[in-house]
Amino acid sequence: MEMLEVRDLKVYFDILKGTVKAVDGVSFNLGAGQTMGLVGESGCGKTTTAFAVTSLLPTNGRIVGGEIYFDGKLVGRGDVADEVATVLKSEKWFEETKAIVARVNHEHENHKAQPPESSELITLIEDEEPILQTLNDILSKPENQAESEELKKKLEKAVGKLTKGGSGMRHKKRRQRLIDRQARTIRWWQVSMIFQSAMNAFNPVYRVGKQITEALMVHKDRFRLYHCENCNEDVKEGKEVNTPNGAICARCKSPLVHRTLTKREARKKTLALFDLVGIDRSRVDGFPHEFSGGMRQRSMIAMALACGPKLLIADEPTTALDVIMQDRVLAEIRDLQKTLGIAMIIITHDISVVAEVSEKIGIMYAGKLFEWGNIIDIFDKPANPYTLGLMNAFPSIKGHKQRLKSIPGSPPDLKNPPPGCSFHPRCPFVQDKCRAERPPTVLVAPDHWSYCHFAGEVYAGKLREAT
Amino acid sequence: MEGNGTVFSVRKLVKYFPVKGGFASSLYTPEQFVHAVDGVNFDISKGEILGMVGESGCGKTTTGRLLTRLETPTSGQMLFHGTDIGKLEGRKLKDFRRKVQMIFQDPYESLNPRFTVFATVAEPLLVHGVGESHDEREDMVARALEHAELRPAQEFMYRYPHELSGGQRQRVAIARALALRPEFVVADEPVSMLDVSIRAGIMNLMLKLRDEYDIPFMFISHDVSVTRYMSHRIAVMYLGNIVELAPSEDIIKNPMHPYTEALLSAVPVPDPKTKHGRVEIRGDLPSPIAVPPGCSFHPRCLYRRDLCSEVKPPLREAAPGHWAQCHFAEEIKTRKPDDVPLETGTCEVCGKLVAKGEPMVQCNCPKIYHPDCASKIKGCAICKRWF
Repeated sequence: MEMLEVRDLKVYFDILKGTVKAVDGVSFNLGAGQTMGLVGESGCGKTTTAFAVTSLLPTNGRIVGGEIYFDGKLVGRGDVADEVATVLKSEKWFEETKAIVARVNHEHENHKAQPPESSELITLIEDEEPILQTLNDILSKPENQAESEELKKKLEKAVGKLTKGGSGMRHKKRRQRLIDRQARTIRWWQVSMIFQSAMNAFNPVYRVGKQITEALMVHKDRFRLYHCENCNEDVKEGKEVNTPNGAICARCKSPLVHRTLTKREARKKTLALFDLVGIDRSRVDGFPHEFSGGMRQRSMIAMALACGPKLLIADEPTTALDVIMQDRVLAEIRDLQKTLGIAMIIITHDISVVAEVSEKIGIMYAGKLFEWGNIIDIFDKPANPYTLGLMNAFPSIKGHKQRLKSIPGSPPDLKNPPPGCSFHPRCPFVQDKCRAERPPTVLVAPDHWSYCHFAGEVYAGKLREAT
Repeated sequence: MEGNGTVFSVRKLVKYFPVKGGFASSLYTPEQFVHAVDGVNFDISKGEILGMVGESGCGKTTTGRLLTRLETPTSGQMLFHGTDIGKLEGRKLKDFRRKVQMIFQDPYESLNPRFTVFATVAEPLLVHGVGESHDEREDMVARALEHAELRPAQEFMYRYPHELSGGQRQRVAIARALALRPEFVVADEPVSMLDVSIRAGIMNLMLKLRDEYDIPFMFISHDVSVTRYMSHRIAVMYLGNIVELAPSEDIIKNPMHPYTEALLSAVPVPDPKTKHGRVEIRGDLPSPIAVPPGCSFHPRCLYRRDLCSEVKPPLREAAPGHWAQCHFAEEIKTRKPDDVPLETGTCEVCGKLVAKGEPMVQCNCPKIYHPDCASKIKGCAICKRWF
């Protein structure tokens, strides 16, 4: 099973002048130990995707659609009623509503057939049942099989009841809390993040080591640490004997009691982390301003690795660094990947950094994943005009000096993105179809998806002129 | 280096910045200086783009600011069409500044948010008293904007910076630099703040303008691949020195200085099939306050010999047109990283001194061990890497 699954994720931000569709339908999955690069221009939604996965979205941002699974746990999801309410405002409300209801129905059936482990998810499903029932009832009636204004009104009324008013809001908040609780179980413990600009990610008035220790102490209950009541002493980490009936003491063979991480142990772990990322131990009590940029970046990596995560999201890990420092940090990341087997998502605007460390690549534009899959195939044969444009815009020190081609125009306003394919105003191969219809996501080769009407043709190198 | 059509000729240019300490420390420590630019020699000829690359803090921006006289040099010569501009003052300095313009890194900060595009571009015209009337200046601004590919100029002229995208802002900055028809332009990291898809457009625009006006450019960037694309020649700077200066293709294909070699090996390549190895460099950039004696690169150099720590190598023509500041520039292709480092130190295991010339094991971190001690432990005692 895939470790991280993001399905049709939509994250919108409410601002004064409307709604910014920062992420608008992104789906991908990542297996354990895999590395994926997320590339795109600024404002294309890369960081928002990462924040949605770690559920660190700012207060005005919300997941309006889709879901995020981590190790089978639901860690992020839009509210079904909310999602339908948003869709009803768009033009193709009929098809989209039907699609949502079908998707959630399918999901619920799956969960009923195979009950999930977490009690939160079960409660959530039970909670959603009445909403789904209402929607199913309306949509299954024979007079509601075609698109009509009446149906729209009916749906709006039903959804309004479920999301607005005292009881509606209360239920909605409860559902959100259930998801949040799930997300908290994985954040920093299983999914951690290296934030953009390590320069500012540390608190300047605390010692770096102290901040890492703090991250460990927040999760102090969750380490596999034991206390032996018989010998009346703490068992050191890893010194217990594991049996099918739980851990027992190596000395007196009596069952052990779970205990929390002590401050001293946390400090020891912090020192070990400094060794791991190649900073001298003596610097552990330094303040962030005493560290060079590269060292700060490495201590950020140390902090992210503190709890032994399964997935590490690195947001622009090398952007603020010099070439030589960048190369060292990338080498560090590669080493850690090899030794610890962590899955990674690397977010960057620099295609060459991704080429250096990842095996999968996702190219984002205007909140959508334009191309996704195996990095070698995508670099060899891009199947999307935007990817082609990006590749032509990048200078390299290898090979012949080629004239660079820029992509004309600038990225669209995400408050009201252009109709059809959002890249069409800048695309050199634009056809009438692109202006009117949203393209499908096409599988052009094994492990290679592209969001384009003419993905197959672009992949084959047969490009037609713009009309 | 000097030839016909030399616009700028820089000799032994030096710029030191005093380090400000407190009153107490000034009593018992001698005054200290940051050696930002430490004896730089180069020429820029007509129509040439000279690229400057290096790590941050190596003095490339200071060099650019010296050439535009935003800083006054501590010593040295800067001949601009034969006149030394280092000591210009008053009227003459203002005349010189009219001929030399600068494009700054961040278009979000280099434009006054309360000035319209017209006011921004017309400002240098006003300062230097170019143009008789408002209408004439408007014409000149319109022409400059059109050259910077902001078309139609009338539409952009009365907009404010916040109404423009990053790429358009940088075009305004370029138009401002070109409005006075300068004879020399310094571009300090003009594309590093821009998005990839826009970057290529700005670079192509600068190349086009160079072809049209034949203005020499100095292109400062930390990105080697961008500099390669833009420049005819590249100067690699390290701790206030130019360590290598050669035509750009030459420098990319056959670097003759170990620092250039390391810098090039660190540049990521947009091709997932080539994954390069580790950079051949150790340690961090030394402080520019206490510059190492001899060759300033020797503490980090993998090829260093005894001579390097004693004698500072001159910037010499190691191959035709290819200048390098290294005693052993010609040998770089045949050299192997030296196994015996120059300095000795204490073994991390037994704590005894490792004598010079004695066999030793060195970790990348860099700590040293006696071979016997190293065989006892499995990895480096400090960084835990395997030997």
